Amino acid sequence: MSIKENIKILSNLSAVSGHEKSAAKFLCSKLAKIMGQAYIDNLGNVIACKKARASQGSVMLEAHIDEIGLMVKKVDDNGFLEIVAVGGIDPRILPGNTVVIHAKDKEYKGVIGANPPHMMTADEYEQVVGFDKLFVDAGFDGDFAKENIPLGSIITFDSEFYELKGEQISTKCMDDRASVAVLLDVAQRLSKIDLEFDLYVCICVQEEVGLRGSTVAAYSVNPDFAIAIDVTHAKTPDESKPEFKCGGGIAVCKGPNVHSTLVNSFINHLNSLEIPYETEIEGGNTGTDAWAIQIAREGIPVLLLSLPLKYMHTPVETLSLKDCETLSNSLESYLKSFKRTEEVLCC
Amino acid sequence: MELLKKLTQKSAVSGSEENIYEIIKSELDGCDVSINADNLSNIIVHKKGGGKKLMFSAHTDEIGIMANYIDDNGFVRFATVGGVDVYSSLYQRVVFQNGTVGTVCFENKTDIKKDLKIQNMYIDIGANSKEDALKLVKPGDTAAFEGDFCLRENTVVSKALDNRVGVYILINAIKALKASPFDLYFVFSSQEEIGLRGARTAAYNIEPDVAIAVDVTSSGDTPNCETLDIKLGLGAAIKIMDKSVICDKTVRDALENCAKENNIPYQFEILTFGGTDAGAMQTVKSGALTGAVSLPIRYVHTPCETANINDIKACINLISKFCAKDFIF
Amino acid sequence: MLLKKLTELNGVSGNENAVSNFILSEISKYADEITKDTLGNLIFYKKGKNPSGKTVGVFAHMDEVGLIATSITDDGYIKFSQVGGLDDRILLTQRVSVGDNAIKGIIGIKAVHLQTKDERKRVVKTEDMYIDIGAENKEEALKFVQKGDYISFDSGFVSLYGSRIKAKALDDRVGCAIMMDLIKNTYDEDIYFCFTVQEETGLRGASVLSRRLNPDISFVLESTTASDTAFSPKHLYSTSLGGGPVLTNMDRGAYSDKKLNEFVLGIAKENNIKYQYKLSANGGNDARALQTGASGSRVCSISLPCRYIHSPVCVADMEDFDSMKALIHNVLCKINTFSATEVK
Repeated sequence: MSIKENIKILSNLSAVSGHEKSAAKFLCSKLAKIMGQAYIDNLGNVIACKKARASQGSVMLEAHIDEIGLMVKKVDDNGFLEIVAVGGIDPRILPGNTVVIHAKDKEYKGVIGANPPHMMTADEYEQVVGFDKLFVDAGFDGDFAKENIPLGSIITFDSEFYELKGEQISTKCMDDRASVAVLLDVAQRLSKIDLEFDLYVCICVQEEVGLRGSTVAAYSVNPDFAIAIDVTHAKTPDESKPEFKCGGGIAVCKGPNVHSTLVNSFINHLNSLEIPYETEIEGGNTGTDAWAIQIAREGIPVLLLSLPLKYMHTPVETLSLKDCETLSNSLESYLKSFKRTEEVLCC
Repeated sequence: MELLKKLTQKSAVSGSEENIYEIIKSELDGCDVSINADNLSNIIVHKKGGGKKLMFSAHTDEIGIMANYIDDNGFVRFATVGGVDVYSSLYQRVVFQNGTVGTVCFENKTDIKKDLKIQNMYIDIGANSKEDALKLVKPGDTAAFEGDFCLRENTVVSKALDNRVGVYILINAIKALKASPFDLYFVFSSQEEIGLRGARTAAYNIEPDVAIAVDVTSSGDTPNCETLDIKLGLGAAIKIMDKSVICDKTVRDALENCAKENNIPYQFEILTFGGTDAGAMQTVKSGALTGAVSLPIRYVHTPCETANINDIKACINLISKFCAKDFIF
Repeated sequence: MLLKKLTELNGVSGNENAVSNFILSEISKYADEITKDTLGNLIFYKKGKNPSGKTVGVFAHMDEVGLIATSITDDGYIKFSQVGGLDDRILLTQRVSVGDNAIKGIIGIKAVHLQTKDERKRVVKTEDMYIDIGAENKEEALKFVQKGDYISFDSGFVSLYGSRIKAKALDDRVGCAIMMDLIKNTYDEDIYFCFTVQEETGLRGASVLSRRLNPDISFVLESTTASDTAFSPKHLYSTSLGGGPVLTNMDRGAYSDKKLNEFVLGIAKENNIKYQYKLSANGGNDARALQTGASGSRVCSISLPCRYIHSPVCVADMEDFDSMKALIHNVLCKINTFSATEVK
C-alpha cells in the first residue's frame, strides 16, 4: 500500500490524546503482521518489534498517534455542548467548523457555533471568542443531549482528505499521522530484510498533552538509540520564519536534544545518497517526543526528523507526499546501512 | 468527624508532612498492614496480597508560606509554598510550627487592585525588632493558614480539606478493608502541592499496575464560576481529565461500575486547571493504568474549603468496595 | 588558577566536551572508577575508608548558557537563538566565540543615530539580532560557521577590587572547580563526584544520572543569584556577596531535606565557616531532578552568591568561594555519620 493510501486510512481514525485505543488496536494488528510482534502497553502505546536472529542491539523508531481535539465538559439545558481543548488549539480557528461528536456507541455531526455578526456590538466583533464562549451545536434538545452525550465525550474535526497541487495533501491530524504512515511504510519495506539488530516501531499516545506516552515507551524499550519522527512548521505567506518548504525535503534537528554523533552519521548518509534535507536548529526543548526519549532511563541517544507542515493544529494540516517518500527512503536505506548500533554511535 | 477535625487542624505545609504521621500511625494501629517511610517522607502502607499491584495516593501536605527574610523592625517577608493566591491570603492568619501566629499584610502604599504580589507583602508577628522576631520565627520556618473546623448539618468547612480529607478517606478505607484480590499500597504522599513529588518517587519504588489518586477537586456550583459540571452533594467524583492526567478508560469504567453496583452516588469530573498525583504516577517507568477519585470542594486553597459529608462517605465507600472486587485490568 | 581555566572554556548546554575533556585530563588519576554516560555526564567514584553504605553524590553542572547559530543570512551574518535562559537586554554588542574553531564575532546593532524614537524605547529581541564575523557574504561565512554551531560569550576571568572577581560561566564552573579539588582527598564515605550536562536546558543530565545512581543523599554545588546591588530593597537581595556560601530551604524546583540542611549548618558552626540562607524561593537547579528522580533523594544545595548570573560578567567573591569549598570539605568528612530518623 502506498504512503498516500496509508495516510488516507490513518487520517480517518480518531485518536484524540488519551482516547487512542481503537486507533492503537488497528495499528497493533497491522504492525504485528508486518513485524512479527506487537503489543499495547498500560498507557495505550503500540510497541512493535522485528526481532533479529542474533541481536546486535536495538533501534527504536517513534511517532505519535494522538491528535488534538475537543472534549465535552458540560451539556447545557438546551442541548448545546460546552467544550474544552485537548492539546493546543487556537480558538480563533474553531467557529464555523464541522465536527464529529463521539458519544457512547454512536457518532453525531455538529458545528461549532458562532453568534452572527448582526447580534454583536462593534467591540465584540473585534474580540476573539475564547473557549469559555464556544460551543458545539448538533441540533440536540436538552433531554436528548443529557441522555446520550456523556461528559468527557470526544469531539474531532470532520475533515475531508484533500489532494492539492504539487503532491500536497490536506486533512486533519497530519501531525503526526503522516509520520505514522511513513513508519508503516518503512516497516513494510524492511519486513523481508534480515537486520542484525532488533527494530522497534513505537506509535505513542498523549504527545500533545505532555509527551506522556513516549516517556514510558522509551523506558520499556530501552533502545541503543531512537529516531523520533514528527512534523515541523513550513513556510506560509503570513509567516516567513520557518526555513522549510513543503516538498523541499525533510528537516534534521540539531541542538542539545539530539545526539551529535547520530546526527552526523545520518546526515552523512543523506549526503551520500543526495537526499534533500535541511537542518533545523533548536536551542532547547524541541517540544517533541525526542525531548522525553532522550532522558528516559539512563539516557538514550536520539535523532529527530521532521516533515514540514503548514497550518499545524487545524483541520487543514497540509504537507507534501514527496517529503513523506523522502523520509521513508532515507530511513529504510539508513537502517540497512549498518549492522551493529555500535557502528553508528562510536564513530 | 473527630478524626477529620484532628487531621485538618494539624499543620503540615509541604516539606513538613511528618506532623501528620503520628495520627496516621495511631489510627492504623491494629490494622494488619506494614508501614514504611522513604527518602521523601512518603508514608507507604502495604497490605500484601497475591494479585496485581493497586496503589492509592493521598497527599498529606497543604499549601502555606515560608519565612525568608526578617527586616530590622521585625516584619517577616515570605515565599509561598504551593498555589497560594495573594488576594485570598490577605489579612489571613498564619500559624508557624512553634505556635507563633502572624497576619498577612501588604505595604500600605501598594495599589492592591493592580500591584499586589508577594514581594510587597509581609507577615506581622507583633515583634518590635529583628532580634525580637528571630526568637519566634527564623528564615526557612513554614506556617499554615488558620481556618477552624466547623460542621453545619452535612457540610464541613475547614482549612486543609485539600487534602486531609483524602487522608481521612484512605484511613477509613484501610480500616474497612476486607479480603482483597490485589496487592494493595496506600501511599500518604508528600509535596504534592509543589509538584507531585512524593507520589512520583513512591510509584518508582512500587511499580503499580493500577494507580489511583485520592484528592479534592473544585466544584462548579457557586455563583458565576468557571464551568465545571461538579456539585457538592452529588457524590464521589470520578476523574476524566485534568491538566496532569487523562485517566485510563478501563479504570474510569471500573470505578463507575463499582459505584453503580453498590449504589454509591458518583459524578464525573473534568478539571480545566490543576493536577494531582495521578499525573505523576501514570508516567513512572513503564507506566500505570491510572485513575482518580476526587472529593468536590468549594473555595479550594482558602481557609474555608467547603465539602459535603455524604460525598466523603461516598468516596470511602467507593474505595473500599473497589479494593474488594476483582476487576480485570 | 583552576577557576580561571574552567570559566574560560566554552561549554554551552549540549556541547560540554571542552569542559569535560579538561576535567578528565586533570582529575582522572584521583578516581577509583570513571563513567561517561550517553548524555555526557561524568561520574568519578571515589572509595572511602569507612563507608556507611548510603549512596552519596556531589553534583555540579559543566554547561553554561549561550547561543546557537540558526541560519546564515545572504549577507553573511549569523542569526541565532538562545540555549538556556538569557536576558535579551544583555546581548547587544557582546563579543562572542562561534563554534569549535572559536571564530570571533560581535552581536551588532545599528548606530543610535539611525534608530527612530520608537526603536530606542524597545528592547531588541534575540530573534532580531545577528552576529557579525566580518564575512563578505553567505558563501564566505559558511567556510567558518555552520548552522547548529554553539556560541559562547568571549569574556575572560578578571580580578576586581579586593577578593571580587568577574568571569563568564561562574554558573556552574564554580561547582566544577570545587569538586576537582575535593576529589583529591579520601573521605570516610564513598563519594560519587558527578559533573552533569544540560542543567540549563532543563536539568536533563541530572535526570538521567538520578536513575543510574539513585542516591540517598545529593549535594548540589551551584551558583545562585545575588541581588545585593544598587536600587534593590534589602528583602529582595536573595543572597549577598561576602556573606559566605548559601544554604537553600526551598526554591522553585526543590525542597531541601531539613535534616540534611541542619547537618550542614552544624558543620558550618562547628568550623566557624560563614554561611547564609537564600532569602528567596526563586530559581532552581539539579536538586529538583535529583529530589524526585528514581526513588527520591534527600537534597541539599550549597551555592556561591553571584551577581549578574547568566551574563558574560558574573561577579563573585573569592572569599565566599574558599568558605564554600571549606564547608563542603568538612561536610564530606563527616557525611558517613549522617542519619535521618526514619518513621517506623
